[in-house]
Amino acid sequence: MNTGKNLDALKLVLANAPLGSKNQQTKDNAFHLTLKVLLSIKPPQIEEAVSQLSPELLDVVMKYVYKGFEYPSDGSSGHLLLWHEKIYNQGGMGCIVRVLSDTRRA
Amino acid sequence: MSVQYRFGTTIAPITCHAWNKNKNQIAISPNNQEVHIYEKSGSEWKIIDNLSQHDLRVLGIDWAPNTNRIVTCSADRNAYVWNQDSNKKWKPTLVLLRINRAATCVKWSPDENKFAVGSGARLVSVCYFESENDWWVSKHIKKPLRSTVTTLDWHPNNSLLVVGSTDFKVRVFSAHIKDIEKNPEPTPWGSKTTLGTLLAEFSNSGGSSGGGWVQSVSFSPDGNKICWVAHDSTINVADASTGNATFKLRTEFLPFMSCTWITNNSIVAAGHSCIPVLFHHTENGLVYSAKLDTSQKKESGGLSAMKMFHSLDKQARSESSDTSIHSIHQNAITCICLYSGTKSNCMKFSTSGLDGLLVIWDINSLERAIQGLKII
Repeated sequence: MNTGKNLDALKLVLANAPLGSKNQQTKDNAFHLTLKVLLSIKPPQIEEAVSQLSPELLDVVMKYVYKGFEYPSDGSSGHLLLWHEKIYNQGGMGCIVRVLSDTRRA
Repeated sequence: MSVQYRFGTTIAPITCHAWNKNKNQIAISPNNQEVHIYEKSGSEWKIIDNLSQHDLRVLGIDWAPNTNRIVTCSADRNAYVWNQDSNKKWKPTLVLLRINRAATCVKWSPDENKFAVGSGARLVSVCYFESENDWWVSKHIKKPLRSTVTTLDWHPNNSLLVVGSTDFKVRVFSAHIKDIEKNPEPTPWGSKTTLGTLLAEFSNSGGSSGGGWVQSVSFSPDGNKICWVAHDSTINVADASTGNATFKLRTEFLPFMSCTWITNNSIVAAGHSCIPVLFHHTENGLVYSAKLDTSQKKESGGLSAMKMFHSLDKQARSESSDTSIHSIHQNAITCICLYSGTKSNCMKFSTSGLDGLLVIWDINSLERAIQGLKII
């Protein structure tokens, strides 16, 4: 991230997301890190970032977007809404349904 | 392209429907404890019988085409087999299911000598007629079901059963009753025939996804493949002839509630999106093909006084806002049945749903009407 490779960082955190983990501390850490990456990507780049994700990772990033809505910080929700819009355009309703139905939460 | 019917004057949801052999009669449940039999006369449907023996909501109906018997199951934990007497009236026979939760789904076996009932008691009752007692009795498949059975389907060889349940699993069992039939030929699923043998188990969760409960399952016409749809908006196929390889497709739609094969490589699924969707399965995997409902939004004809009062009456609003959606069904589709042809070569299928509408879809004319649509 420090070298500006935000897209690579995003793929990395999503691919290693501890969704099935029982350890709440690990999950919290992963959530804060993922949120940091999501917020670091500038609005014009979001569409490009989303287009590079596989369907599996789209589901994962959507989970973190909703989790981000759950614990808002200053200005984060507006940014996440942009993410939500772009992910929805690509993944459709199914993506949201999978956030709701899934037992492995972010 | 598609024909729409409504039954009676009510707009109650249709829980499920089943056709007789000639497709001139239909059994539907209007979301309550009754089952209505309608007969087609001209372009009208006339009610000819009302099967009211259940105490609670009917959850499953199946009509055996050749032996002309109906089986129904309900949330009151009972199932009835209905036979027609000499006056053409349907008479019920109680089935001993021995369960303490709702009976959720029911299907006749292909030979029509037995049927299977899934239930919330975490088991499947395989029922057959015991002639010495003149009574339908059942045997249970219990292990390793961990949750409510929501759906089941028979293998064409009359002996295997695929079961989907809310513990996110799909399982293939042997449902062979050795008292009434001889041993079946071995299949790619396995050769063991004892009742209740677990031949295959597939999890709908795995990898990064936690999955969802299983809504509907279907055996392919050759019996070597199963497909299932689940509440995580996925459609899945498992193939026993290639070592139980599974394919999962995460779709962009709302979850599907029902699915069936229409050829050995094509699947139709429908559900909360209100439209039937076609999928193909080949060696390369499972792919989305097309939406089978191409309706466009109706032109709204300006604001008339009539319209205003209509919407005032219906929704207590004076501005007219169009709430209809771009499809024939206006609410979730809960049931798909084959109307003409078989699973290996289906020509027409019917769907019913929460909007109380029954639609018959003609695959041949859909194939002509929708550009690029090809059934394989």
